[in-house]
Amino acid sequence: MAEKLPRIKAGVDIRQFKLDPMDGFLLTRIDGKLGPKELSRETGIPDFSVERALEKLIKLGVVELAELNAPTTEEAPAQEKGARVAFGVSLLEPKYDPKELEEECDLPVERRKLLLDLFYRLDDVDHYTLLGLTREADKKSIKRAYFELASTLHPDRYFNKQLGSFKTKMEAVFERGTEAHDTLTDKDKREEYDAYLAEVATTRGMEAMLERALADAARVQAHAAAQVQAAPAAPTGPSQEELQARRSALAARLRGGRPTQASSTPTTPAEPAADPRRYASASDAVDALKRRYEDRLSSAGQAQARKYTDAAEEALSRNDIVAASSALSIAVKYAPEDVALAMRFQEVKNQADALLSESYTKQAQYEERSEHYIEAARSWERVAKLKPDDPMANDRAAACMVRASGDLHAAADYAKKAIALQPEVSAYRATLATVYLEAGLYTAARREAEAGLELEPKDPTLTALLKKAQKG
Amino acid sequence: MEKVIGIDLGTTNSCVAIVENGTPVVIPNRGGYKTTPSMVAVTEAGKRLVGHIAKRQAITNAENTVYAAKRLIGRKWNSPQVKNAVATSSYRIVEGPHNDVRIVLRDKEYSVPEISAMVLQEMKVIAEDYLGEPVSKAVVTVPAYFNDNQRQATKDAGEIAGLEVIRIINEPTAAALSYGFGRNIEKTVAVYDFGGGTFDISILEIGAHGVFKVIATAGDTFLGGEDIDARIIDWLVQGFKEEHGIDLRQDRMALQRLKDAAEKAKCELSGVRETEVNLPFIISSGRNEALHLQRTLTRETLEELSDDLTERTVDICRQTLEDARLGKDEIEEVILVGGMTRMPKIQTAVATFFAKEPNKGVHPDEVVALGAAIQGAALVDDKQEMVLLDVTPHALGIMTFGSYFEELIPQNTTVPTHRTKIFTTSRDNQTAVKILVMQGESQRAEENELLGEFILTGLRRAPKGQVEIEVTFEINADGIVSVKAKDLETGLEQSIQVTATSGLTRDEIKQMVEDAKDDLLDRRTSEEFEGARQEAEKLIAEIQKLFPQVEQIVATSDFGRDAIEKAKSIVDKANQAIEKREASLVKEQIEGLTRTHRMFKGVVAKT
Repeated sequence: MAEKLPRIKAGVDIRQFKLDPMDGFLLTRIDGKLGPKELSRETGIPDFSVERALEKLIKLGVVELAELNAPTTEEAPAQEKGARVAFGVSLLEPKYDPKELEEECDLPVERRKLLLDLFYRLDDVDHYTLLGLTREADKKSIKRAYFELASTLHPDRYFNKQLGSFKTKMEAVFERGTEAHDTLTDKDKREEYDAYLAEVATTRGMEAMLERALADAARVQAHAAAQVQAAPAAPTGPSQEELQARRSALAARLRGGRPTQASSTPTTPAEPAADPRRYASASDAVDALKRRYEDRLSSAGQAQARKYTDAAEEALSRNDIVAASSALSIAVKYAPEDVALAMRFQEVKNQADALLSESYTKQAQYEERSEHYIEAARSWERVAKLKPDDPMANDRAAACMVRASGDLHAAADYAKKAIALQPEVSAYRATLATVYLEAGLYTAARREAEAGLELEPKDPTLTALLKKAQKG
Repeated sequence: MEKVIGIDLGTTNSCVAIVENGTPVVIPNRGGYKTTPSMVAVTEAGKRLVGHIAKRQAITNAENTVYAAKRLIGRKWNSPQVKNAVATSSYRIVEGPHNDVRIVLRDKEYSVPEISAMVLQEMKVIAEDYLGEPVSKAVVTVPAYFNDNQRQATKDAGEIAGLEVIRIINEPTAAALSYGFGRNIEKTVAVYDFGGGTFDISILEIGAHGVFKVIATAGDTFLGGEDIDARIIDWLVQGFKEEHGIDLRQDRMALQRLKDAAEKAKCELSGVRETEVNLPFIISSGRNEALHLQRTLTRETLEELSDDLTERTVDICRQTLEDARLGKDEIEEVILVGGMTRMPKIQTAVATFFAKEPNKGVHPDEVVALGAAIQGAALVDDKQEMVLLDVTPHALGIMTFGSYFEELIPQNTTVPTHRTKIFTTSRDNQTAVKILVMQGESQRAEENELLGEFILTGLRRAPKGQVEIEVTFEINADGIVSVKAKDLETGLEQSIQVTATSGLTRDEIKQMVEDAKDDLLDRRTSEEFEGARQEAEKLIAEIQKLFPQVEQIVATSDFGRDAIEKAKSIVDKANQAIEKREASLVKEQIEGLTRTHRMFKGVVAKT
C-alpha cells in the first residue's frame, strides 16, 4: 500500500481555525505530494515539529492523510477565485483591520481580502510563498504563478473601477510580485536568493532544535526534581519492589528493630541491602533510602547522559555542531555535577552559537543590501543575542531598527550596548544620536553627537547630527 | 459600455480598429481601404485634405502636403533628425517659438501635434461612420523606442483631435497582443517591426491568464522604409546628374515625383526581380528641353543600396537579446510587422538571424491597430481577461554634478515600479538643488532627453557632501512618472508629476548644465571619496596599531628613526587628505600607506 501523505481537505475554510504562523507556513507547502520528511526539508522546520503540527492540523480537520492522487473525499464548493489558497499567504489570520474592507470601492470583497492579506505580509513572506510556490518550482510554474498574480491584481484589470486606497496597495503587491518573478527567473539572482533562504532555514532549524533541546532538558530537570521530592511516595514503574522493601524496612525499624520476613526483596545483591539494623535511627534510614534512590536516579541519569554524550560525539563526527550542542545540553541536565561534560557542552555551544551568528550575519547583510530593513533589524538582533559582546551587531541592530521605523527603545538599548562595548568608536555614537533624534530626545542626541565629536572632531555625520539636534 | 478604438498612427499609413463582440476588426475607410495615408494637405482654396485624397494631389501640391509628420513629433528643432527632414522634405519646416518644430502650409504655421491630430481625427471619423455613434476614447500606438516627450506629443495630438487617449502602447506590443489574443498560448515571441519610419524589436512573453509581459524592447526611431526610399532617390538623382548634369533635388515637384516612384519601385521589387522607373518630363534642361528619367532597378541593386540598413536592424536584435539575457533558441516565434518586412531580403535576414522561419500569419499593416483595439477593450471591458505588463522603454534618472546622468529606473523595467537613491550636495553652503529629470541611455546628461525639473530649497548650509537628499522615482500603472526629492535632515520634500513636453532644446539643456552646475547633486565623487577614505583609514589604523612595536624594534638605529618619521608624515598627509574630502588626494596617499604598512608588518614579523 502506498504511503499516506498529508493534504489539505477539500472545501475547508482555513481561516476559521486558530493557527499559528508555523502551521500556516507548513500549510502553504502541503500539496498532497510531500510527506513529513520532505515537508521538513521544504520548510526548514525540524521534522518533529512538522509531525506535531501535522497531528494538530489533522485533529482540527484541516488536513487529511491520503494516498497520492487519491480522489478528494468531498467536492470543493465553488469559490471565488481570490478566496482559494492563493499565493500562499491567505491561510493565516488576517493581519489587516477588518474596517479596511469597508472602504467604498468597486473591488469585490474577496479580492480586497486577498489584496490586504498580501499587502500586509509583503515583509514577512519570501518570494516563493508570495507566489504560492515550492522551492523546487521550475521557471514555467514561477511564470504561471506570477501571471496569475498579474491577472488578479494588476491595476489595469480594474481600469474603469474606483479602487480608492486599494490602487496603491495593488501596485505595491504587483511590484513585489515582479521582484519575486524577476529574482526567481534569473539563474544567478535565484541562486543568490536561495542561498539567503537556505541560511534562514538553517538558522530556523538550528534555533528550533536548540529550543527543543532546552525544553527537553528542562523536562528532565523537572522530572528529576519531582522524583527526588516524591521519591518515597511515588517512585516510578520498575521500583515497585523497592517501594515494598522500603515500606518493610521502615516498618521494621519503627517496630523496634525486629525484622519481618517481608525482606525477601528481590533487589540486586550489589545494592546495600535494606538492612534496617544498620541504621541508628528512623531518620538515618530515611536519609539512606533517599541517598540510595538518588544514587539510583543518578546512575540512571548517568546512563542517559552517556547516551546523549555519545549522540553528541556522533553528531560532531558528522560535523553537525548544532545537533551536538543540543544533545550535550540534554546530557548536562542529566548529569549536572559532571564538570567536564559541562565544559564540553559550553565549548560546543560556543561553536554552535558562532555558526548561528555567522549565518544570521549573512542574512542580515543580504537584507540590508536589498533594503529590507525590518528583516535586517531582526537578524542583527539575533546576532546580538548570540554574540552579546559584538559591538557591531548591536550597532547594526539599532541602525536597522531606526531605518525600519521600529522600536526606538530597543534601538537605543542596542546602540548603548555597542557604545559600552567599544566606547572609542564614533560611529556608534552617531547611531545612538540618530535614535535619540528619531525619538525627539534632542538633548540626549546632542550629548551623544558631542561625545562622538570628541572622538572624531571632524566627522561630517556627527556634525550634521549635532546641528540637527541643536535645531530641535 | 463605451467603445474604445485602437489607432495605429503610422509614419506613412494609419489604421483604425475596434473589438466587436469579442473579435477585433479593422475599420475600412470610405474608399474601402483598410489603411489611410498619414498625409495632410491644404489646397489653394484653403481646404484641408487628409488621407488618400491628400496623397493623390501631393505631386501637384508638394509644398503644401505633409507626409511622415511622425518623424518630427516631439522632437527639438535642433535635433539632427529635424535637420535631416528640413533638407529632404518637400514641405517647409521652420523653427517654432519653443525651439520646437513647425510646418508651414499656405503661410500658416502648424505644430506637429496639430498635423497628427488631423490624421487622428480622420481615423475617428472613419470609426464613427462605421459604428454610427460618436467615439471619444482611443488607444494609440507609438514606436516602442519613442521617449516620453514623443509619447506626450502623440497624446496631445489625440486631445486636439477630440479623443481621450486612455493609453499609449508600443507598436510591437500591439502586434503581439493581436497575435496572441484569445489563443491561449504560452510562448516567448520576438516582434520585428520595420515600418515606414521606425524600426522596433520587442521580446514578449505570452502566458497563462491572458498575460502579455514585455521583456525587452529597443529600436531606432529614425530607421524605416523612408530611408530605403531615400537610398533609391539618391541613386536616381545621382544617375540623372551623371547623365544630364542636373540636380533634381533643386526642384520640389521633381523630388516629390521621385519619392513616389522610389516607394513604388521598392514595393514592386518585393514581388518581381526588376522594375522600370519611368518619369517623363521630370525637368527642363537649361535649353528648355524636357528631360525624362528612365532607369531599371533590380532587386539586387536595391538590396545593395539598403544592405547596411538591414544589417543595422539585425544588430539591434542581437543587442536586445543580449540585454534580455535570452538565447536565440529561446525565441519560439518571430512575428513580422510593418510594410518593410515584405521585402524578401529582410525576411531572409530575420530568418537567418533567429534561425527560424518568421510567422507570416499576421497582416503587417493591420496587426498594430488590432492590438491597440484589443488593449482598449481589455481596459474597459471586465469580460476581457487580458493584461499587458509593459516596461520602461528608456532609463530614467537625474543629472548629477559634472553633467553625468545617474540612472534610477533602468531600461526595460516592468511598471508600476519605484526606485530610490541618496545623493549629496556638490558645493559648500549649497541651499538649493535643482532636480533635472532625464530619460535616455547616455552617461552624458546632455545627450539624454530632459523631461522636467524642479528645485528643492531650504537645505542647511553645510560643507559639500554633508546634506543628504533622497530622490525617489515612481511610475504608476498608467505610466505617469512622479519624482520626489527629500532632504533627509529636515524632512522637507518637493515633488513633481513629470508631464513630458517638447519645449526644450539640446542647447537649452546645455545652457542649463552651465547655469546649474553649482546647484547640482553630487554622487559619484562622494562615493569615490568614501571608498578611498575607508581604504586609507583601515591602513592608518593598522599602521598605528603597529607603531609602538615598530618603534621599540627600530628605535636604536638612525635609519629606523628616520623610517618612523617618514611613516608618521605619510599618515599625517593621508589624514589631511581625508579632511579635505578629496577623493583624488586620498587616493594619492594610499600607495604610501600600503608601503608603510607592508614595511611595518615585515619589521614586526622578523623579530
